[in-house]
Amino acid sequence: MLEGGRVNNRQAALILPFLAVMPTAVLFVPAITAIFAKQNGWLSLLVVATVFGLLVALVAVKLGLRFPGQTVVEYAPEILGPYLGKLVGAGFVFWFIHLDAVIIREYSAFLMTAFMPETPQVVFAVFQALLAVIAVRGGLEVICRAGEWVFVVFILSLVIILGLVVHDADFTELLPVLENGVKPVIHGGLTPSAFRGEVVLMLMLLPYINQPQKTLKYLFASVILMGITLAQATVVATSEFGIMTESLTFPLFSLARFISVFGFIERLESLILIMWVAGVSVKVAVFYYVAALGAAQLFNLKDYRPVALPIGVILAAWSVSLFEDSREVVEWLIISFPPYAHTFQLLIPSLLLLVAVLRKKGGTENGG
Amino acid sequence: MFNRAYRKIKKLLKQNKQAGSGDGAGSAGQQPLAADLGRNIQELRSIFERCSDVVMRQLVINGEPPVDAFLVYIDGMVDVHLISDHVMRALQMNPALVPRNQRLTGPDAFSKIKDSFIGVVGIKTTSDMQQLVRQVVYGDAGLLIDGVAAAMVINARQWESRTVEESNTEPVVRGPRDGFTEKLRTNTTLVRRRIKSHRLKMENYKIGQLTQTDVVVAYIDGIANDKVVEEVRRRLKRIKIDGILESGYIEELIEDQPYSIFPQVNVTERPDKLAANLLEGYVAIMVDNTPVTLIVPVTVPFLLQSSEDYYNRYLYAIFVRMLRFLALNIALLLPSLYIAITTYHQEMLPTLLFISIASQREGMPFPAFVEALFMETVFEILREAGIRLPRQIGQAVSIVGALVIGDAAVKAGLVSPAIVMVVALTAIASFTIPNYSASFSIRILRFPIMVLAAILGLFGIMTALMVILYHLCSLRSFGVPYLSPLAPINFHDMQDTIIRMPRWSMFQRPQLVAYKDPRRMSRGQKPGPGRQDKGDRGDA
Repeated sequence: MLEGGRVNNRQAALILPFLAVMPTAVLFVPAITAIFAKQNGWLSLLVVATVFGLLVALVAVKLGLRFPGQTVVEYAPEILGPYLGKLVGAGFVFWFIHLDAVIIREYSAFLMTAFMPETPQVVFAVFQALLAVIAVRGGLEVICRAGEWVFVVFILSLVIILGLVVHDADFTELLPVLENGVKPVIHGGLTPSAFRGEVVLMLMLLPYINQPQKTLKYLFASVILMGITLAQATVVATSEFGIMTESLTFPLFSLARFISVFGFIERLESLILIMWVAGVSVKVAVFYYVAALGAAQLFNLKDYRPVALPIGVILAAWSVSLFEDSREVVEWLIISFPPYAHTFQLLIPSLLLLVAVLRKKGGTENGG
Repeated sequence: MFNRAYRKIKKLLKQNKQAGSGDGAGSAGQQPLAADLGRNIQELRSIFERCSDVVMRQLVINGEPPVDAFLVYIDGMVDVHLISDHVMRALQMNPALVPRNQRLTGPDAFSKIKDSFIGVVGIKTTSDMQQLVRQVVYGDAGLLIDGVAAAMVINARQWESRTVEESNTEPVVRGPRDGFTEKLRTNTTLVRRRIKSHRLKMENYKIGQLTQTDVVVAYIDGIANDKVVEEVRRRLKRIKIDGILESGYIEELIEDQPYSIFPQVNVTERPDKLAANLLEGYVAIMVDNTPVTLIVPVTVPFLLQSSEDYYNRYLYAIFVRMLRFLALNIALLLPSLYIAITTYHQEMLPTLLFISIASQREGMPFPAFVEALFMETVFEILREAGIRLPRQIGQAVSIVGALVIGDAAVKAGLVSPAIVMVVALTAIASFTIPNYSASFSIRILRFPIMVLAAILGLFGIMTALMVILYHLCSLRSFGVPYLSPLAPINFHDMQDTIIRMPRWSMFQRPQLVAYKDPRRMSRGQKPGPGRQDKGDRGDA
């Protein structure tokens, strides 16, 4: 086993997936959803994306439970035979690395837009990659423990920001509900569900959880919690900005700029910065970790730490060259991200599960 | 490259170790005593050659016939009164006063002297010259008798030591005033007086080939985690060194993560604090010749706790601990926040405050970072000077430093007034951290964070904090996660971290260290009027 540590369900199935989805989602998603679903964006987040997330979680955990103690990279060859299986494993590793590069890009895009427009993007990328290397070399336990703290900081910041702007929100902006039927709501839910589907990470993490039988419950709770949190943020953003929401890149950030209480508690963007840097660093670290772990398993290495640094270099370099500017990032998130992500989140795992059931590979659902 | 250097060093160390062990084998070997006193004396004289503090006394015991004897001890390490009153006088007693059947004769003289003549409790025999020498350098007196191939080792150890005083580094307002001294026996007594139980175990080790320093591992049997105790034993036994002069030597040799900036062993000079920790299942390592005692395992909340927190009422303790937590953050972050905000994020300040700071900084020659770095360095120099100087001058230095340099620097236009306040606040805040070695970490960490703040603003500070968080999460102290119970979260153990629950609600010991015997007191002892247990206070 490459990873020696064991983590519990609360850490790895509730908090970690939350932090693997929310940090970027909470900033990008409200605006993207609003483009299609307008004032009903919160419905896309609360219902459409959550249902998708629950499906992904169900498939990932059911699949993982058939092969206790193994990650998808390890058991894919068992299901599909050595060549195709390795290919699927390699596909997942590539997907993790690519997605991580995108996350770093999103991260630096936001920091550049919001805080430090003159700093070159590569600076943020390098710092973030270095930070993630430290976490990844520490292992899953370290990421999970740090995650518990970051989770608290994240939720607290969010509550403060939303709490302080809610007094001049106009909730009539949310009406009418389902103005143009269900279709725009589902359309608006595509990108958020691609974010939510990132809980597919569980394919890689399940073997290291000490009570995998209970994981599904926690993972469901996590997905639903994400839905509620995102819907809340969207409700507040929509009722604050109305139809303007879709033209903002980072509605939550604009919300934080809005804050003015008693005339001196003003401009709490720094809270966003704290939330963002802490949250994204965990998000990057998780993806980075599963990528390194998967790569090591793909090549049958004894330890994933030697591949950690090379992957970091790839991440930093790739994130810089991926997109021209942050507008392109958003465009990619709207157009290419959903089909690309859904393939790896639901399609491939479902196929794997189907083939495994048909070929009677792996143990029973309750694991061994 | 680093790896290669490391391997080379390892190789060198290996050679060294082999050489060292060869040396050690010579001194640890056996060498039986001779029956002939003259030969033993000759041997002892050659061993203690040029040791001017060794007293060797030849004497004659009044027996029938008189027996030659030889006493050897180190001056200053034994109680001379005890030797003269209870050893010398007994041996040189007028034979006429002794009943005929009890007089010393030939072969059984040795056991008779040992069992019925010498009035000292601690007396042992040895037949090994090396053992005798070891005991003598330890402070025992050795007594040899002609015709017997054995020696008596009389425990009459006594040497000068400081009296029990209040610890300088951990003063309290409420609570006991005694602190550990340099004498190990006094220290163990101070603890034993607080925990009068046979379950308080004190295992003895001797570490240091030359210094032969006594090290005591103390723990409470049945509460302390056996694995931790075993790990402490294992790590202590691994130490091969010529000398241990302070517990810091041991601390550095038993740490889990030697490259970390954070202390992984808790230290205290207070017996009450040590006793409280032992009761919670921690393990203490007490070292001779130093008042500083080590406690393992340590977790981060520990570094913010003072023993006084448990003596004052809990609300006050919670208040003080939160204050300390705030002060910790100020000590770590305030200069960097100042740099980051004045350089990159001016919009975060209220407009009036920003204008005031900006007008102060008008015409200043250096950027905020240089100012802060300059003042912080000046302060660290002053602090170091204050410790090194004789106490009376130390105060003068701090006054000169604080008032004269600070004021003059502002007047000379070198730094802005705001930074003087920032540095002063940082300095005062850093003194609130109760644990001395933890405050070192904070002091050192402040500088890299300042650099990051100067380069990247708030983002840099946040990155630094995340690095620290990841690092803290990866640390372990004797198998216990360093950040526990905060991460991994253990809600039960949170009763005694940043907050301190009232004593009647903390009826269980911390789960992570004392899971063997978690119960500290019985439930339901919350006091109040009319609350009486059946039978207990019923007769009042």
